[in-house]
Amino acid sequence: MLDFIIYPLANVLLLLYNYLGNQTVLAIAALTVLTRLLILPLTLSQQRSARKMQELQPEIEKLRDKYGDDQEKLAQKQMELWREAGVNPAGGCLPLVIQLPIMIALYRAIIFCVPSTPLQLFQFAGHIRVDQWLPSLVGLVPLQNTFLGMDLGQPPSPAQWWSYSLPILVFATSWLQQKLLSPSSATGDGGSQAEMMSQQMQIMMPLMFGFISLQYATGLSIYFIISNLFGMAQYYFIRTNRNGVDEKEVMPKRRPKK
Amino acid sequence: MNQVLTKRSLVALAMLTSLLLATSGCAGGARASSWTGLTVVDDTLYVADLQQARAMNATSGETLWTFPRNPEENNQGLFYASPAVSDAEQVFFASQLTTGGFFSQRQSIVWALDVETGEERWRFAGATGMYVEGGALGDGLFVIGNGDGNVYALDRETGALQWTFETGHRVWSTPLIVSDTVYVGSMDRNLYALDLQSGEAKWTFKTDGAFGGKPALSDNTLYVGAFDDTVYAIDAETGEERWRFRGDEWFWGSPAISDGVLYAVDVKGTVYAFDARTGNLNWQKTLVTDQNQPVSVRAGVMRNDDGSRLFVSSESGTLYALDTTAEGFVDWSSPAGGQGLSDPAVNGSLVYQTLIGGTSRVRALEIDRGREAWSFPPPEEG
Repeated sequence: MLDFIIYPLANVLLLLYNYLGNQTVLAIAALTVLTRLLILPLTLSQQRSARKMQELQPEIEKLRDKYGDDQEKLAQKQMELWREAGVNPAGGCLPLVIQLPIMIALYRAIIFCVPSTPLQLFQFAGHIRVDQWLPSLVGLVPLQNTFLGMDLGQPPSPAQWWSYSLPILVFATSWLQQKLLSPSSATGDGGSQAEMMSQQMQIMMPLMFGFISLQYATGLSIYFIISNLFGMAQYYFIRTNRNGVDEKEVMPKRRPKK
Repeated sequence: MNQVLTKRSLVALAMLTSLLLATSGCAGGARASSWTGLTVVDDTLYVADLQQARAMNATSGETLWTFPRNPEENNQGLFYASPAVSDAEQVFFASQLTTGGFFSQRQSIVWALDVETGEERWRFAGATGMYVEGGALGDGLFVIGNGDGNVYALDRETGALQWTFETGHRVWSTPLIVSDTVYVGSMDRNLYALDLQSGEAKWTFKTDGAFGGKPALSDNTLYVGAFDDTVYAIDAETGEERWRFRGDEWFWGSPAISDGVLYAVDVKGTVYAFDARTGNLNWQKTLVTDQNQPVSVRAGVMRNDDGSRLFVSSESGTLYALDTTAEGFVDWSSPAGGQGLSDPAVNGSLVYQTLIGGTSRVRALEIDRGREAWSFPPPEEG
């Protein structure tokens, strides 16, 4: 279904591998950064949407105070407010919907180039195109599959106990990224159900990524870690380039609990 | 705001969960990650039949024994690699056992079974990668490559490890043993000649492509295809190149040789016939489907006893019979459900094919006409 993304990505991975000294981890890292740069407009749009929603938060709180007993009216007023401010509350979902297939495609591309089973390798046979333009790339697949003694095509295993450090790193960087990007720590009343759910998500998402990293090839963990580091770098870059104003400084203060 | 964020997170979580379920095999059932294989000796067919090792009467297709007898109760993993049969009345299979869970060790096991009864003689579980192709027998040893990058030599009577040889990548091809030398290709782009008794390298032949097939030998020359779209002819004594032929696609399956003619097939289904001595191309034939679509081929070519016919199994399950005396004219083709990724085998008037993912897992076809003699499981049990 995603072949039209997977095979081009796999071919780009081969190119990067060739030009980065036949280092698989470097090639995966470079492809991750390139992919993140490619979807940067989407992630920026997602963050812009989130920021606008934050800025409207005081108004939303006022509406809650005013119409808290009438949920239908509250929803109507919220929609009016968002419409006037030009904010689509679901606008942040679309970038996610687009990003996830790209993530899946990237994983499949990595698996094709560093296969753990012969069927994965065979699926890629006949879809390599870069060697037609650059004959020197003929025969690159499968890429070198070991990094620090770990098999990049296999999930972490007790035989390579240190490979379990990768899921831990995936969890840690995912958690840090969630922590940085989520404004929930700076807004809203900590006791609301929505915020509790949001806080649970801050743990659930990194746990889910850590779980995936335990089950899948360690090459995918490299992608997750680099992607998370990119997300954090992007956050700091945007924050420091907003006229020197710290984003968290412009966020509304916590509402005192009643 | 938080509600919106939470919704967003829930969407992401739901999609991640879907991804996980879709790709982790949680949907149930054993999913093949390689191909099954077979060997025929003295009218007995030994088949790595995914969940079992199976011995069958090659003429009738009747099952003689299975190991394990009941895989539901005594799971010994998934059997892929083609078996090898020794004079000492043992047959050697390999399986991949995954116990599940986060911290489980995937086990790869070599089994030595009694050829008559299928009873276990010994097992070897020292490798950590996947056995894809089978092993070879020579001078009291069973030698097999593994996905962990090692070649293992086991005492064929006891299963004791005699030596290992470490390559730089996965070893997914069957070794060839001739006299006191083991020839084996690795995904590290090297073909190795190893001393059979010590496992030490005699010579190494470096190429630009990985090796996935077993070499063929004739007149002291090794013939093998590689993933750099090239077929190589190599001096078996010195490891020096004699000639090479550059095609358009990977050569994965093993070549076959008959009466001074070398036959090889690439992964896009083009069959080549070379003068084995010079490397000159005699003819080539690109296989297509009935709808004139290209086919994919992983398996190697197999010839019949007099070399007049070649058999090629396509990924889509069709078995092709080519007339070597008519520049590869397709005499007949027989489609089947499932994937036909392993080398066919020939015994007398029948040619055998294993399939994965279809209703039949093994079938026997008449060499002359391509008519199906039997299939397993039979259609009514499929």
